Amino acid sequence: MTAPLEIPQGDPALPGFGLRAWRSLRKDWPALLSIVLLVLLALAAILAPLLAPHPPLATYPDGLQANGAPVGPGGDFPLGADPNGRDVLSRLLYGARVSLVIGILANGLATVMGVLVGLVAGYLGGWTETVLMRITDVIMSFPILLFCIALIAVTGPSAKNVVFVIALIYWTALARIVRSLVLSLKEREFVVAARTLGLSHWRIMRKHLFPHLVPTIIVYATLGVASSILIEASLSFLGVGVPVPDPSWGQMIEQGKDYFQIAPWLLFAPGVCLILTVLAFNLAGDWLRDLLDPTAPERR
Amino acid sequence: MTALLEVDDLTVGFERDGTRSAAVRGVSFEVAAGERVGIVGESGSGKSVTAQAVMRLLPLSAEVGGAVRFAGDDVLGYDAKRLAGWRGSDIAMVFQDPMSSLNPLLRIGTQLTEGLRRHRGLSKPAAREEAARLLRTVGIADAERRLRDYPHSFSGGMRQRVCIAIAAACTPKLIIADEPTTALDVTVQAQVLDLMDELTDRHGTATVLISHDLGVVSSFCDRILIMYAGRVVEAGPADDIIARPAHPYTRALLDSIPRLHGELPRRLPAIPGSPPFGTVPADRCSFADRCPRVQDVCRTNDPALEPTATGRPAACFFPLDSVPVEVR
Amino acid sequence: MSAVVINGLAVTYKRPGRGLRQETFKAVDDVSFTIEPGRTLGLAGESGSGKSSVARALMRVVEPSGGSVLIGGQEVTKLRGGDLRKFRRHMQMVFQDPYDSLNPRLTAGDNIAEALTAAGVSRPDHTSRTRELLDRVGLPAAFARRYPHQISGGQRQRVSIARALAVGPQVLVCDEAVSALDVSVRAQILNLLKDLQDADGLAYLFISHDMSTLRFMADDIAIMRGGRIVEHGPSADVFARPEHPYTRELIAAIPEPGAGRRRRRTAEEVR
Repeated sequence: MTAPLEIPQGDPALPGFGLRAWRSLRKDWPALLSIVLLVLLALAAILAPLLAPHPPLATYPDGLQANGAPVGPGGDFPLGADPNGRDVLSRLLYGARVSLVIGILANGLATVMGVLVGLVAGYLGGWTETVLMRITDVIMSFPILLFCIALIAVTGPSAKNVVFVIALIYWTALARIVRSLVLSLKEREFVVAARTLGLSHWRIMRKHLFPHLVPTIIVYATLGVASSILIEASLSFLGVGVPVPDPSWGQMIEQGKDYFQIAPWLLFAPGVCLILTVLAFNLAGDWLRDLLDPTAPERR
Repeated sequence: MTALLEVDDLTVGFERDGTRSAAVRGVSFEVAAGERVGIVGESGSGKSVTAQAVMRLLPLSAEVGGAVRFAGDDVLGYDAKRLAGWRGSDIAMVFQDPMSSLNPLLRIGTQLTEGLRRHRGLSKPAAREEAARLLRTVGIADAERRLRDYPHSFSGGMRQRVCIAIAAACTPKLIIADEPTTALDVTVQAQVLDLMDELTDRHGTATVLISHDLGVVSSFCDRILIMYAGRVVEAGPADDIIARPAHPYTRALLDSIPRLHGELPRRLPAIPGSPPFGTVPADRCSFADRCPRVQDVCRTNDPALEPTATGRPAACFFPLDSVPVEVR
Repeated sequence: MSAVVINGLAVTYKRPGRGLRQETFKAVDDVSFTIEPGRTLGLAGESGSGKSSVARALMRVVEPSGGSVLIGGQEVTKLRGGDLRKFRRHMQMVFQDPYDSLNPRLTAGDNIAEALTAAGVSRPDHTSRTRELLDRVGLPAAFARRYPHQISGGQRQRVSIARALAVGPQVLVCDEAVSALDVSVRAQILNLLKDLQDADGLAYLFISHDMSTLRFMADDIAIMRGGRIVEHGPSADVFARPEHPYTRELIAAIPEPGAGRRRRRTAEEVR
């Protein structure tokens, strides 16, 4: 079958990246909303000290009712107070810092490692591939949470250690995906052509393989930020994450679940933030993937 | 006698990103019962889209105009139920890629008996017997056993034979074959063409053979349509078109094919440029930019398909005269 | 000195067999031929005949399991690492699929510039050299800025040829280089390849399943079947007096326009 409409007419030169980004964003309101949301979230995290009505760690006696239950949203505490009499909004803002920084850093580290390992293993093949992929398999076969807990038990709980531990676990999935992509990519004629030209391995990986991996990497990286945030939450819950009393969303959700009946805001506030953040990362990731693919310039 | 298939001023347009492009721009032809018609064209000529429009296989987003009549019935007006009954029993299609037109997860026997039971109402054992007989007619040995095999255990040529067996299963009145041999080796191509020859001869099946290869089409068909940029630019009996092309495009196409016999030129007479894609301007001849006989009028008017001195219709203001061209 | 001398070439592929064992499959078995500068050897055969494996072994894209390949007198099968990379510029390849042989993420110009980088051309000279190369393959300089999906199949194949020429090869392997192109465009590319050969004295290994194209392009013909060469000789002789039954079958299988309906010539008739 021959495609009758394969070549777009008109100016063959693509417009600049910024212009294309803006044009496609205007047509794609979920992506636009997601990016606005992520920007707001980043701003909120950065400006937390200015925006927060209270210090996140301060406890207030008026945050508790006479029977000891936390007060609901409104008044002095816009999103209510927690069982220790601390302001939920302030903790949420500071928690965004912790969750985002840990999510992005851990996942960024995992992405770099996963791409490097997958790319080198898939492209070079032979014993390099065997060694790298066996290591990957071994790490993948660990029970993730248990492994994290064990590692942190050894290194001691701190935000920095949480980042390293999550990164150490999370690169394996991406490494496998990248390797399998590279295995099929390197049979494509343009990669064979690059080899026959006598280009160096590094250049072939960088210019002829890597750009084709970017869409997949972006999708997995955005998903990965979300899962990293979730893992961090789990670790915090188990007491091996971000040490208390510093707030993180996961920790707040965990604390809130016990008070769901009498103080649902404790669960909803960080929960909604988490869901919106994860959703925004995913939608923005989809949009970026389409934007970065020059063979589909005006697909939407 | 009414024609088996009548295509009347068929147009197909696709809309993408607000721009409309015409893939087929007013194609008309008829296929009589038992006749073999070839459609020759390059990529973007609209030959495959024409076939898909006839089979009603185009996506809903395609704008189809004109009329397609099968034995006098308006095919474009068929509802889903009528369409399903018509396909397979009256008309069948053979595609270019025999691997992707067979379901890789189903045994050959299942795929063959499906149509037989549905359209011919055969019982399960009867359908199986018939399926084995069909496989034997398309030259597959040990048919009973092979019915239990999956598509991947057949070679490309064998798979296409299976596809032809499926198409011929209910002895349809018309088979549309879209580049059925393009993915095959030349020796296998010859065998598959022989097979189609034999089957269509035996049952008097009309055939529309679509190909980019003038040689394949002229070896099989009674009549040929030459398509270019969504239009029929020349039509007529196969041997006449090859011997005395009227349209400069047909002539240039024939000249640019390297031959097995005769003097070898140092350079081939090539057609400059490439076939047009997407939107083709309606008010000029679409071949004008590549044509050796182009005049001013070709760039301001679009020639209609009209009879020429050769006795055959061609869409050209300056068709080649009727002096026979020496066959090289 | 001959541009290409291949002697006793063998290519073996491993594939998983029963259990943990590996089966070996001989794709190319004891293939030998020579190509002089400025001449074309046409390699014919059907899918699975091993003709593409010969090309890929010559290009050192797959490792030959035996035999020798001399390019301009240099033994290629022994080259390793950096030496091999440097030597690759002497042999280049034009691939079958013009949709796949150019990096879709790079413009036509950048695709050619990759070859210039490999050849060690300094970056400031890239633009002018790219323009020269595009001109040689009959494309306007403005094409340098277009992406592969924005140009037609024939134009893409011209860019592929320009990329191959950029490193200054002595040998050009064309593996079904025109098979995927429109009929009306094929002749242009065949003519272009002939012109380039006349100008540069390139040696061509021209691989095709189409005997009529080979008759036009090749000085010598080798017919492959099942990994072996079954017939080998000057093109005129092979077409006038095909000796192997398979050669006759291949020639007979081609439906030529004008041969008439239902007259597919039999192998006996060709003789």
